[in-house]
Amino acid sequence: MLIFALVLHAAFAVLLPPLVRVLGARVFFVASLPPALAVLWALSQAPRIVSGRPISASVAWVPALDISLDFRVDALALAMVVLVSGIGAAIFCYSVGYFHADERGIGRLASVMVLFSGAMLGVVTTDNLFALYVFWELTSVTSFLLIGHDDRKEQARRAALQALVTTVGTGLFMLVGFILLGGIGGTFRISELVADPPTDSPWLPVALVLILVGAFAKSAQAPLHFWLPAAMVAPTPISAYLHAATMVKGGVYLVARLAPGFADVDPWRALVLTVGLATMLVGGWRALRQDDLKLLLAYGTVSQLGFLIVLGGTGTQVAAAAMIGTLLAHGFFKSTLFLTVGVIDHQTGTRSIAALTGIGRRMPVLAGAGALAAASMAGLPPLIGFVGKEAALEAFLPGHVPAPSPAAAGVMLAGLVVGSILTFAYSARFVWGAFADKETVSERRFQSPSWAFVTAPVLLSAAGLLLGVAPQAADAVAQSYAAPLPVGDKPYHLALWHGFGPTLGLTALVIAAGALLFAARRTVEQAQKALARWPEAELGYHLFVHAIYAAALSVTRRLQSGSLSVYLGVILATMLALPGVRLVAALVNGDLRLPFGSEEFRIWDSPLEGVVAVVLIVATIAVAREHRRFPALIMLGALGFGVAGLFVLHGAPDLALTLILVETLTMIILVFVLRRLPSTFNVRPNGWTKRFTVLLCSAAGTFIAVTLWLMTDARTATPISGGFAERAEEVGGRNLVNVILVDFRALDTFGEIVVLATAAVAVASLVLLNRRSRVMEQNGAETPEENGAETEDAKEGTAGPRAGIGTKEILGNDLRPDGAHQPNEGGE
Amino acid sequence: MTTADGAWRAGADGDGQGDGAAPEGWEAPRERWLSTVVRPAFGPRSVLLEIVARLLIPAILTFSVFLLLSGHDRPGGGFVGGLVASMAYVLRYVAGGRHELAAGLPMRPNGLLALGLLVACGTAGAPLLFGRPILETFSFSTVLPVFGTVKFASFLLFDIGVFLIVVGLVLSVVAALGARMEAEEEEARVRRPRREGGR
Amino acid sequence: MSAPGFILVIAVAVLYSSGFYLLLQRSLMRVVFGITALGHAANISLLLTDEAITLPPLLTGHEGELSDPLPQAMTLTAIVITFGVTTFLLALAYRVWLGDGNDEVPNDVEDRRIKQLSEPEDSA
Repeated sequence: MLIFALVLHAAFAVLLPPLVRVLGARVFFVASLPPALAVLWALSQAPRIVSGRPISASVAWVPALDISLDFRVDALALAMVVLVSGIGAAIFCYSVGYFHADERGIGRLASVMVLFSGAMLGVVTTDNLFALYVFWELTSVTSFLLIGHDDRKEQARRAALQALVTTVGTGLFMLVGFILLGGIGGTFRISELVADPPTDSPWLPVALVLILVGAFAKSAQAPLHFWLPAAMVAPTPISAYLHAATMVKGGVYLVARLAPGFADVDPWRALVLTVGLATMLVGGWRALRQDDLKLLLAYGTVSQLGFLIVLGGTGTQVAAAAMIGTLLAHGFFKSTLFLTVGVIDHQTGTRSIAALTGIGRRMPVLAGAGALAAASMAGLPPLIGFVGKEAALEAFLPGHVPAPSPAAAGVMLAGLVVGSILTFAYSARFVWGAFADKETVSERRFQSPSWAFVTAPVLLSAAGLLLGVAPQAADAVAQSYAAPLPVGDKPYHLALWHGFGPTLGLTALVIAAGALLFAARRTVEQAQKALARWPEAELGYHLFVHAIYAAALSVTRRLQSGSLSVYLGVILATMLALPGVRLVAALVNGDLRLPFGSEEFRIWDSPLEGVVAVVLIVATIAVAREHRRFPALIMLGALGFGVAGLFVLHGAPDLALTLILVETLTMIILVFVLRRLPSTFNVRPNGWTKRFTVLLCSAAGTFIAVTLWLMTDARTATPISGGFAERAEEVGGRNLVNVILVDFRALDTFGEIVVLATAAVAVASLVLLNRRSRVMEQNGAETPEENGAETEDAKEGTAGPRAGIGTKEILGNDLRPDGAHQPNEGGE
Repeated sequence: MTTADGAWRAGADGDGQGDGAAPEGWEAPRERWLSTVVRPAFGPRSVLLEIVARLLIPAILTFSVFLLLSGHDRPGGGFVGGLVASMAYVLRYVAGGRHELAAGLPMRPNGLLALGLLVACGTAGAPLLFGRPILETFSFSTVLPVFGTVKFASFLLFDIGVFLIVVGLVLSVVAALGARMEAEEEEARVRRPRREGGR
Repeated sequence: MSAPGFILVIAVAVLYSSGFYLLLQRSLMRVVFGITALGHAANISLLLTDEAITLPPLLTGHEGELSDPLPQAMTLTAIVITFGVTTFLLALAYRVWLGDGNDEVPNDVEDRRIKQLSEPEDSA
């Protein structure tokens, strides 16, 4: 069923674009079907899953590498499926109202969103590290496409690229971490790794840190959080879905998934707590000064993601329960708030706090939903946000929890309280900024939104309320997930009321201080402005990208000189520098010995061979030194015939025969071309360049020859052609070379004749191409009948089977008075 | 190579009478040395070369077929045979120029290439039809009245494909780099005086 | 197996060196010559993997050690391929000559343009 749901997502992604013409924006209703189906299925299985019996499914994918698509839905996955598919379905319905039918690329948008939904579903349900990676990157790619939806805006393109580079680049680290982890643990199944974590490998911390890097970037943790606010250029439903509710929770999910097994391995907990807390504080602080409601929410999301990472990575029972509560809470309230901003933006055309007033009066239902969601974010009872935050504070009460150490827990608790105060303040600021009547701002004229448009935020907000009033549902999931984790003083349940205790006091403190902070917002704003601007994290990204560009450019500038000989020289130099130096070292050390003086050493095998070799050497040097074309050509011919002579001596008549014929043909064809070219080679290298080239080439040639010598001397294996003679007689051939060519290794020969045919066609095309372009040029200038004659002539020139018919025409052409023979010029 | 011969004769018959005032009587040659009006590829016209070409070309072609057929037992085979056969045409081109080459060819070089690939592919793929692996060979011997025991192996067909490809390669190279360039030069010669006259 | 005679090793070294040297030249025709020389060098290298002086690999019934036919078959393939490549290069050289009036290997225009880029594009 789960696999069916995934396939359904992919199928819908293909089917949606053509439907746009028929349905317009209503295509999103169709798009909501697969996620709706997935969430209904997950909820129907919820009792079974929560009772500790996860659902599994498996499809063999790459059997050779033992990679299979394993799926496993347990309590954590269930919570994520509810977010991914449940919120997804709601947002798809909302999109019907948000997008106009004439929106550009709406089909692509719907298609990619469904694809994302499927990929995210895959991320949270797969049980295989490789499959997880693939789905993970698929979400990154779809996110890239969705952020860059308005591809005519440079800002959108840049933000999309930034998000892609950040998440995919760090995703590569994660992949390395996965491979290390799988190698250490001996399996790539996540459930097995977590249930039976490997502990003794020194590489384990490395693997975990690499994985955490990927997770942190995906979940926009400081200092990699910059891509998330930038991604807000995407249409609001996408921001709500990808960059608030689901995709950015991928990192949280991964941390929470691995925490039960690896939270106690250093430096997991230290890293997770530090980075998470820092992100929470930075995000909250930045959210306080945003004017754009969407950016305010984006920084709020960054802050909340830090919070979630802290809870998910701690690896204690209370923290895990708090994580589940907060995860659900955040999914519902943040998507509600985004959708609310989307409605406001859609109706009024602005989302600037400074320009909005009176929204609360004009859209009371929307304002109610938004306020409820903001209250959940601020941690007010009786909402699920409050339940989660209570649990979170409980999880770090020093002395009551198994981890971290009391001192660290104290610091964390203080940090979380400060973060919560900031959260309360920016929540209040959001409600005030979005809905309040501001006397200084003049009211804009706008239409009230249709009821359908408001339905989704109201529903999602109501879900937050429902979960808060009846926290048993969330608690069941939380207990199921947190069961294997170390427990503190007493078991903890998600609930609205735990009696009077330190956490309640802290909550009261948070609310009071947060309200104070909000009331003093002007002072805070001034303080923020007065503070020196912190270095933006984005600056790091720009410096990084800039450095890569600069490095690439400088490398290219040095290496890519455009001269072919330099490139080839670099290749030769590399050959000498790596294996060449090694060879010399081995010879000097005595690991290898040249066969001088051994009984195998001979000057030549027969005096005739010596003569041929001397001819070869002389001819070769002459070819290299000769600057006149024809003498060089003749020397080349001598060289070829010398090699043929060597073949005769070495018992290879076939080769000799072939080589003699080929050499003859090559000579003739070279003459065809050479007689048109100037009689000497134009450029003569000289001076140091020439000397260096000679040195380099001699070294390379000597290296190859010495290697060959050593290798043939060291050969011990018998040739693989041992049984060829008997087999050749079987097939009835006595020339072994020919039998090999046409029978034993006929596939090679087949490949070769294809190459030959290609070369033939290529040669003809290269020469005729020129002809064709010239005919085209002349067509403009010359008279038509002459053109006709020329093209006719062109056909004849290619020597066709029409020779018998065409002879008269040829004759006519040839008897032209000015066609009389003239000695060929060396070139035109 | 009967096709080649046929085309050649057709060419020879076709223009036997077309060449100005022929000498009268029995001493007049019935045919030219070569089939078309001769303008050699290089240099001045050489009677010796023409005669040698006329005499040698059939012998070379026959020899190339011999090399092809005997390749399984003696040095030779498709590559060597094809090179020798194309040598005959190269000789013809050198002696008689591009029109002579055109007149002597049984088909266009591209046709030879295509035919060769077809034969090779067919031989390679035929065993598939009988459920055998690709490129598998079979051979049988039979007794023919005049030739005695004759051995036939399917890789001979493959070798014929190789032969045709090699001939096609050399001929298309000669046609492109030799004949084509020659034709262009001639065009340039023809055009240049005309243009100058026009101005 | 035995190493080849020393003089042949020298010949191979000279062939490779000259081949590389010609390959590094500006004139396309010399590049073609270089490729041919390198082809010869490679062919001899293949041949030298075998015993030095042997009978041809023909089953004629004569006594004696036959040479290894496999390198020979490979070499034969290589010879014909080298011929195809040479003709192709010739056609290329001819085209270059028609276009530029010389047969030199020009510096790549695109590469030169990259080289001229002294300021990296602003990523910001």
